[in-house]
Amino acid sequence: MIPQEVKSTGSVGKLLSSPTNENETESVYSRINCSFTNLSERFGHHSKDYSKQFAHIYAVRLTKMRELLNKRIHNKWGPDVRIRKLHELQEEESRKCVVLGTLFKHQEMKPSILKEISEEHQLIPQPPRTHFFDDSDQLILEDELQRIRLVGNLDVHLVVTGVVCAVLGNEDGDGKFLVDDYCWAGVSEPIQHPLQSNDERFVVLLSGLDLANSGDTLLPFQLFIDWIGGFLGDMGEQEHQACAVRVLIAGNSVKGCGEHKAPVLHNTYKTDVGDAITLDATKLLDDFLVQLTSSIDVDLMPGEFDPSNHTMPQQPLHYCMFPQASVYQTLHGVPNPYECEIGGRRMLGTSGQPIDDISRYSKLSDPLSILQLTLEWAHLTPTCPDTLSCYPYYQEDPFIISECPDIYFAGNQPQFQSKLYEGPEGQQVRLICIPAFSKTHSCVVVNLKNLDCYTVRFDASDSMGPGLDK
Amino acid sequence: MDVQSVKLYLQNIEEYVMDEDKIVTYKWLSKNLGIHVNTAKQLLYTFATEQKINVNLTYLVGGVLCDGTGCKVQIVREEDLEKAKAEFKALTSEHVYSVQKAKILPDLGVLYAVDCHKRDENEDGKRLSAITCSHSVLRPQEEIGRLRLKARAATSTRDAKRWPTGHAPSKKTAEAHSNSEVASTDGSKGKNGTKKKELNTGIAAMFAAQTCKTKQGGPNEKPKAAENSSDKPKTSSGITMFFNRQTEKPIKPSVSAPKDSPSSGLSPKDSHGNEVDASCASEKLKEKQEGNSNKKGKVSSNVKNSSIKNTEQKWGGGKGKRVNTDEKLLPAKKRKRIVVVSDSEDSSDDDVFGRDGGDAPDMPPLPEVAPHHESDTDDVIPPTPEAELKRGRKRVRKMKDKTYVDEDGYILTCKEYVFESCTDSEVEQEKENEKKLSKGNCEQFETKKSESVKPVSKEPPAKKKASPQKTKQATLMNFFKKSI
Repeated sequence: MIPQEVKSTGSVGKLLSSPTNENETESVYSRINCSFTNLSERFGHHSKDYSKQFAHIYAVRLTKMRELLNKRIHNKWGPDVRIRKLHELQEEESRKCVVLGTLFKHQEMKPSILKEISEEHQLIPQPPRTHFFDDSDQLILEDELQRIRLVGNLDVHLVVTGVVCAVLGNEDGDGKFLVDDYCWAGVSEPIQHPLQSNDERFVVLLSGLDLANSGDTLLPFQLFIDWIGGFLGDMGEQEHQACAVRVLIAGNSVKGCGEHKAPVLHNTYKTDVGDAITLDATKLLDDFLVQLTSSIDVDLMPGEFDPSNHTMPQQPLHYCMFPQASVYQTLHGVPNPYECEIGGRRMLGTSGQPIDDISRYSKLSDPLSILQLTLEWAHLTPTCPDTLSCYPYYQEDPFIISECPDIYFAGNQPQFQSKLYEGPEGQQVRLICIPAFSKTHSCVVVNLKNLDCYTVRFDASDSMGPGLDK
Repeated sequence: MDVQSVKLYLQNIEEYVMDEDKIVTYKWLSKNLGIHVNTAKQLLYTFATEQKINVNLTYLVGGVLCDGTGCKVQIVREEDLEKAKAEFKALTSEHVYSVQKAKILPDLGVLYAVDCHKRDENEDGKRLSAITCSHSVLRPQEEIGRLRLKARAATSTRDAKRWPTGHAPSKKTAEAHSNSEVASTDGSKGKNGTKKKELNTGIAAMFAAQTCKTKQGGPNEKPKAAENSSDKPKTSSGITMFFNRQTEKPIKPSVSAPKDSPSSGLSPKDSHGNEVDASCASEKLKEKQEGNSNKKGKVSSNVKNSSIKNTEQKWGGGKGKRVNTDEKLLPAKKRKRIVVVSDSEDSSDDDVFGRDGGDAPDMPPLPEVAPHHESDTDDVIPPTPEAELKRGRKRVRKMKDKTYVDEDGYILTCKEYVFESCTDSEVEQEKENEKKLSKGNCEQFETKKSESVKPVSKEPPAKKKASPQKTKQATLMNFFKKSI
C-alpha cells in the first residue's frame, strides 16, 4: 500500500548543492497521457420535468433491480426456491418463500413537514437533531401493490429506506413476515477491462477544499498544486508526479458547510455576505484551477454546498464560473455522481451526500462500511428521494450500480479510509473515503495499475506545534 | 550553468533578500529570473550556505511516513529540519523552499502570499516546472464560445424578464417627468411673470405663448388665481382652454414639489423647523392659488378633514392631537410624493436655491436634463424608502401607536419616549400642539405659523410658486456650477 518505496531516494538531496550541470537537474518530464471515457451521461439532465411524482423512481428501481436480484436469489438459496409477490403470500400459508421489494423504514423521528406544521403551536421547540433513528423504528417491505411488516432476521438499524432486497421467510399469522435470511442485489460481475498499459499511473482524488472558510488551507493546497505540477520536490518526486494522469475534485470545493445562521436583528440593513463569500471563493478556486489545468486533467465535481443544483444528480459546475481555468481543455466539469473510465479502470463515486444521509437515518456510522453497503445494495443513493432530494425520474433510476466499478469513492468524509473489497465472484473494488482537504490537508493517490492507494498530506503548519510530535 | 551567471543570480538573490528584505521562495525566484525550478532551489541553497549567519531558511521535505499513514510533503523551518526528517521512513524530497532575512517566520502561511502575488503576473511559469503536459491545450475559441453560449441561454429568459420591469418603467416615468415638467415649467413661467418664454421651442413655446396670454390678462403675482377665476373667460378660446387645463393639471404636482423637496432633503435632526417653513409656505401658496373665492371652502374642507381625523384618532387622548398635526401635514405630502417620485439629496440645495435663485427660470434646456437625472435617482433610490427616510421617526412612531392601540392602550408611554428622541421636531410639535389646543382650528393654526415664519417664507412662496421644477433645474445648474 505504501507507494514507490525507496525508489527515488537516490536523487534526494541533489538539489542541496550548487547549480552545476543543468542537464542533471533541469530535466523536464512529460505528463503521461491516458485514455479516458466519461460514463456520466445518465447523470446529466436532458430535460427538466418536475411534474412527475417520486413514486415512479421506486417503481423503476424495483423493476430494474428485480432482474439483478433474481440471479442472486438462485445463487444463494438454490434454484428451486419460490419467489412470490406479496399478494400471493396468502396462498403460501406460511410456507417458506422469497419476496422481493423495496424496504421502507418507518421512523418516528424522521422529520416531516406535516408533523412540523401540525405541532407548530406546541410547547417548546426541540433541539435540532442530527440523527433520526430510534429503537421504535419498523421495517416494511413494499412491492408494486402491497406492503408487509418485516420482523426477524433483518436488523432495521442496518438498512435504510429505498434499498431493494429479497427476503426469505414465511408470513406469520398476524400479517408480519418472519425473515430468515435476506439477499442484496450485490456487486455485479466484474467486467474485464484490459488495462491500457502496465506502467504506473496515478489518479489523485481530493475533496472538500472549502475555500470559503479556510485561510489555512491555502498554502497546503498551493503545495499540492506545486507538487502535482512538478514544481516541488526532487527530480525523483517530479518524475513520479509526471505519472499522475488525473485529478478528481469530489465536491465542496467552494464551500464545505452550510450557512451558519448567526442571530440577526430584523429590519436592519443586511449585506449579503454569503454571496460575496461564495463569489470570492469561486474566484479563488479559479485561480487555483488554472494552475492545475495548465499541467493536468482535472475533473471537477459539485458537492452539497457548491453553487450547483442541490438535488441529486448535481449538474456540473458551470464553466462560466471559472473564466481562467476554462480556457484549458483539461478542465472537465462533471456531475455528481460521477462515473468514468481512466486507462481501463472504471471509477464511480459521489461527493458524499448519500453516505452522510444514510448515517443520519441508521445506526451505521462508519463511512467506509456504508460505502461498502451501498455497493452491495447496488445503489448509489438508496435514500433518494426519501431523505435526500433528487430529480423526479420516472423512466429510469440512474443511481443503480449495474456495472461493477474498480474504484468506488465518496468525497468529503471526515478521514481517509480505504479498503479493497473482494466480491464473491472475484470482483475487486477499491473503496475510498476521500477526506475533506480543508480538515486533513491530504489527497488520495490511487495507482491504476494495482489499485493501491495512499494519502499525501501537505503540511505547512508550525513545526513546533503539536501536530509533529507524534 | 556557468559560474558567471550563477554569480549574477546570487547577487540578485542577495539584493532581494538583504536589501529588499523579501521572502524569496524557489518558485518566486524561478518565475522572476525565468529559470528552472530546480535550478532556483539550488541557487537558494548556494546562497544560503554562503550567507549562513545572516539568513533564515525553510526547507521542503517529502517522503513516506514511518507511521504508515502515507506520504507527506511539508515545509519546515531550518531548526526543525532534522526533527521533521526523523518522521519519514524514506525521504523523497528535500530542498530549500525559501530564504529570508527575518529570523523567525511567525506563520508559514506568509509563504503562500509570496507566490500568490506572483501568480497573475506571469502566466508562462509552466515551462519552468519539471513537468509538461502535452494535452493541456487551450480550448479553441469556438468551444469557449459554445460554453459561454450555453450560459447565456440559461440566463436570457431572466434578463428578458428583468428589463421590462426594471428599465422600461423608469423610462416611462422619465417621460412622464419630462412631460409634466415641460408643462409645469411653462405654466409656472406664466405665473411667475418672467419673460423667458422666447427661449422655449416647439410645443413648449406654444404653451408658453398661451400662458403668456393668461398672464397678460391676469394679475402678475397671482396668475393662478387669475387663470382660475377671472382671466380664463377672457383669454381662452377653445384651444387655449385645452392648453390651460393641461398646464393646470401639472401645476398641482409642481406646487407640491417645493413642499416635498425641502422636507426630503433635510436631515432628520433639523428637519422639522424647515419643514414647517416649507409647509407653511406651501400652504400659503395654496391659499394664494385658490384665490379669494376658493379660499374659504378649501380651508373649511381642511378643517373638516382634520376634525375627522381628530375623531379618528381620539384614542391617543392628548397625544392624538399631536399626531393629528402630523396627519394633517402628511396627506398633502403623500399626494406630492406620488407625483415627484424622488427628489433626492440635492433637494436641500433646491430649497436654498429656491430662496435666492432669481436666475433660476432662465435655464430652459434644463428640463430635458432634469428628467434623466430624476429617473436615474429613481433607479437608485426607490421612492418609498426615501419617503420613510424623510419623515422616518415620526411615521414609524405613528404606525406603532396604531398597533399598540389595537392590542393594549397602555403601551402609549412608549410613544412618548420616542418623541423625545428627536428633540427638534418635538419642540415644533409642541408648538403646533399648543396652537392647536388653543384654537383647535386649522386656519388659525396656519395663519399663526405663517406669521411666525413670515420673514423667511415671504420670499420663498413667490419663488416656489414660480416653479418647483425650476428649482430643480436650478439645483442641477447649481450643482454643475459648484462642481466646475
